[in-house]
Amino acid sequence: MIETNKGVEEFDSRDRALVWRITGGRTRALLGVADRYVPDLITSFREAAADLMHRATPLDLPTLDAEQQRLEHRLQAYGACRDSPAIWTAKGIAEPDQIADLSDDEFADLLASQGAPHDAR
Amino acid sequence: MTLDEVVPALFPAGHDVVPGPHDTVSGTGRLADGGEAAVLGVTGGAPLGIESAIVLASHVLDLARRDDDAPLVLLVDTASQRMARRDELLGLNEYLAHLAKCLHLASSKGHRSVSILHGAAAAGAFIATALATDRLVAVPGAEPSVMDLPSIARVTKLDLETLQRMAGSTPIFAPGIEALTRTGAVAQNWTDPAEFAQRLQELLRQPAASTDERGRLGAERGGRQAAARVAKLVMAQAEGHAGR
Repeated sequence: MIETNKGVEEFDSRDRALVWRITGGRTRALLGVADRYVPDLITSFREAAADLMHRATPLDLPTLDAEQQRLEHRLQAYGACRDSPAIWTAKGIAEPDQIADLSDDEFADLLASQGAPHDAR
Repeated sequence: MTLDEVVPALFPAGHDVVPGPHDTVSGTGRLADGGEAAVLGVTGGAPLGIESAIVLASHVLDLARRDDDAPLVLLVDTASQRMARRDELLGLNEYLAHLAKCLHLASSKGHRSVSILHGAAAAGAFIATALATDRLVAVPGAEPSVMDLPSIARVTKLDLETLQRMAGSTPIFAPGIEALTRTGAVAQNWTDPAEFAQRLQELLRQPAASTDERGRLGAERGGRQAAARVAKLVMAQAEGHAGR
């Protein structure tokens, strides 16, 4: 949609590496947009979905206040970034350009090392 | 209608709506019965980006925190969600969902909410603002759309001409007030500004619906024949699942 409306200069959907850096699962997980990151298997996804279904956070004021703070912080801290490696550098992650090359286990370790203060919910 | 036309028509008894950062407005308006409504808006046909979404959400949370039950009037004149690589990177979807959730929360805490659509609204910006309040009212100048047809063409890989032809006979993804009224998304159309204040008061006086009425309206108006039925089935399954 971005490319259709704003042109290939804004977002080139044929540039697979770019698409993964902007909207890929690892980017979403590291930024705290996702509740969980699972290996690329339907069974992993199904198990995580079944588990999370029973952990829904109540839609109340404390939850949404926390979400407001989390999203304000993200905007303040990374609002000037145009690509994910710039965010990983700001977060102090070593080798910010190599995230896509990590194995699932290595990525899980990296994610765990970041803690969860900015995770979704 | 422009913002300067809509606000006095809604609140002839007075208002203190002022521009805020990132194409937003905020303030209060005096209702016909003397009560006060919180007023927020996204203006100037500006796309809804992460900045404007978080500013609006902050105001809505302030309202939700209050002990009173002051209603909310949300003025909508936007475009689509901001289509930019940078906003996408930062999780615009999450900011928009957050705004929609905040609006839902304020409503569930007793603050009746009405959107007044007086310009364009499309896609994510439409969902997170006008479609996230209790009621959506279209006034002259309203140009709602679910998604622009060229984008639908790109995503579905159907050619534009086919989509234009389909949009002529089915309102599901056709743009415009008429189509979105038939789907149930638009509750009322107001055309005479002299009646806005009274009609707003009447709308806010109606008891809060315990459920989302858009599915039912869409079925009655013939624009969404399956949505209400499907939503009911999903609800029933979810309730069954919650008991396990």
